[in-house]
Amino acid sequence: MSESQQFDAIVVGSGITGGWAAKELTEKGLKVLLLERGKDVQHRSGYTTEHMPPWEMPDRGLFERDVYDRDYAVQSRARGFGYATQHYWINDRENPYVQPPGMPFNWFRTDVVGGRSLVWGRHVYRFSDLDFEANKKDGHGVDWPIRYRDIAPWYSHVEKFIGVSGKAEGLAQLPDGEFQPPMAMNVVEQAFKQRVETKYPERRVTIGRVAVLTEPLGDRGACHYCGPCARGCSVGAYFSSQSSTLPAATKTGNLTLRPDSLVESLEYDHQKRRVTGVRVIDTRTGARQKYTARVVFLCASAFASTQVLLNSRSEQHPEGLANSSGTLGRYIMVHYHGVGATATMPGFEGKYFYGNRPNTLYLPRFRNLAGEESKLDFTRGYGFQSNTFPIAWSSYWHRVPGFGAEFKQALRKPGPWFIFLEGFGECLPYADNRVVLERATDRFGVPQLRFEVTFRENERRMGADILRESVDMLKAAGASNINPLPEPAIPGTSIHEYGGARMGNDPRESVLNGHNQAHDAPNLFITDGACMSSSSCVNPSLTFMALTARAAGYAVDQLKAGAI
Amino acid sequence: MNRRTLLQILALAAGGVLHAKPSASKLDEKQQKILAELAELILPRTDTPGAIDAGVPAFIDHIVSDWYTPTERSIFMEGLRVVAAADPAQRVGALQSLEQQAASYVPPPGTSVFGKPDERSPFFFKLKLLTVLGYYTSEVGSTTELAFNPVPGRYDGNVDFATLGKQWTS
Repeated sequence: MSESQQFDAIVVGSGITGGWAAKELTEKGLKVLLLERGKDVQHRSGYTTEHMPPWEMPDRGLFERDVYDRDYAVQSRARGFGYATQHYWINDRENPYVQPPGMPFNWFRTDVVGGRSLVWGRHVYRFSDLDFEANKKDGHGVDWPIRYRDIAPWYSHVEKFIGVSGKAEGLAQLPDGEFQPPMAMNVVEQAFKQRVETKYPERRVTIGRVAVLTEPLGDRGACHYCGPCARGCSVGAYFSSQSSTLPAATKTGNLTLRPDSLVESLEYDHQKRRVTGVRVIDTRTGARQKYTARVVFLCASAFASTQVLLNSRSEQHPEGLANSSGTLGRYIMVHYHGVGATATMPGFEGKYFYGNRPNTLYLPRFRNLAGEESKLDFTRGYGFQSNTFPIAWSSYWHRVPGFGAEFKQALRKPGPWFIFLEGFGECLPYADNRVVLERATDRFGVPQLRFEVTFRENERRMGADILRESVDMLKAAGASNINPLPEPAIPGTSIHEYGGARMGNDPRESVLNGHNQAHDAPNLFITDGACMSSSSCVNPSLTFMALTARAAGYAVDQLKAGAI
Repeated sequence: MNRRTLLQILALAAGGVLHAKPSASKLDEKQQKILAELAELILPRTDTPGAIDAGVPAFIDHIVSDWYTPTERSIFMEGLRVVAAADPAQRVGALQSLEQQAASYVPPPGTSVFGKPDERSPFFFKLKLLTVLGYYTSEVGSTTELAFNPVPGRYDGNVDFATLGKQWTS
């Protein structure tokens, strides 16, 4: 492929947002080059471990000891990482990043077409004006240049396409969307809901809103409840780039997908104030190449897109591209995560389940809601996800003493029902929670990203409240063996990543405007988590998708008008 | 999409099956024989097949020989040595005494058969873990002692266990 081959648009990254950018831009008639650093994974045939029974896995799926320690030192800490999914995750040894002493950070990344859309948690919630107005109201961070009304139609647009099962609840802090029928709660969840809502009438327990189909949608089939989604789903029951956006983009005839293509930096014309090229490294050969297009969408994930901009240095902008504000790489946010409590729920012995439902309960934010005067010692709020299941033989075998026929008979019955309340807390935007380029480079000569991200007093106070409320709600639900989990996970563990190129009205204090367009380069759009001005406490992917679709529509209008 | 189409797609999508490399056992014949006896004592044949029927001894041999760290292997081999030195007619007693010796051991929170094991756990704990893992993840164990249903097709979170009588495979 020669440099002279012209594309209308280049999209960097084929994950949740890149797939959406490719779909929207190609459907509007643009010739799109989609660049993906990872290797190709085809829908269906690429899911080599789907429905694989344990006895067909090497070592029954036990982790590959030496390989994990050597190559997946970080990734192997991700939930769901294992034999059946490891081929999607990035090799840490080959792709290092820097964690300064005392600042551990889990940067969980995939290295495949489709990105983390293959392995994501699939929970999708709308932000509300409680979120979009938060920065302005309490003075942390920069005011969002948009409000809920700006994004609401795009939420609907996205939800109708990806398919979201969930229940309308009529809550201001968690706006309802376009829902397929909700998944069913199990018997313990129903009791938990009833008991918690009785004790706390202002709180709501609902089934998770997930991008998993309960009814067929186009060519995609409904969930068959096999369980381990992250291995890949041949019927396309959950949203991934492979199941959804890439087929739509391919169908237009306007898409060129190029895997194994790591974007190193962008080329910028200082006079014209335009991005003029995308510098790519072929990860198989190390060969470098440049591609050009009229518009560029960075969708490589919050930190990877920020890394590309930081590394797009020149004499005119030594601190990185689109960084005249000096805010590039700053105001990094990740959800405060890992605090909560576990317990068992007595009274349900003999109750069991059929099918593996890929969903949890959700308990929307109930702290510091709009119109309330806060009596709390922290600002913003948190929500809960809750897993509830009977403890399986694999986890209680060692609590059954002895051996022989009696032991075997005892293991035949499931253990007690387990319940896990897990908080997801909003993290405030702090200027010095940042990523910067390290002098050390990777195998391609690209400077490594260094993470300087820590939680602060507001997050810790919120964490103390999460802990108290987890325990109190489990007590109210009649749980036993309540085990508080006071320690937050290492930053990054939630894989809810925000900031680095935040949106704002003022080019002097933000990287992007209200259309995800770089203040300094009107033909550059950044629509992944990097754009976020605050983090809300809800899972972010739906918002990233809606912002991407909205920005793509705007970019095409601007192109047609000759404005960019 | 109906169930038949679904099953057809799933059948087509099934990928290549990888198997562990065969390798040399670090157990001699006598140790292998003792290991088989111990595994069968832990999960014997009852109304369902036992550890030997499910190929558990070969699985444990493979894990101990190829997957264990030197620390784990030396704890395991020492345990086998202790059993080998005792009266062959008293295997149950030997196993009981090993269990008693391991009784004070407290496994780390969240211990499962999967995941990173505690290298220094005692012999009895290691043996029991590998027997349980090997049995309940085998094809025999998964389809007799457990219920294997890779494509349930629906979800019901309020089922009486008695109607099933078995746990699902993981």
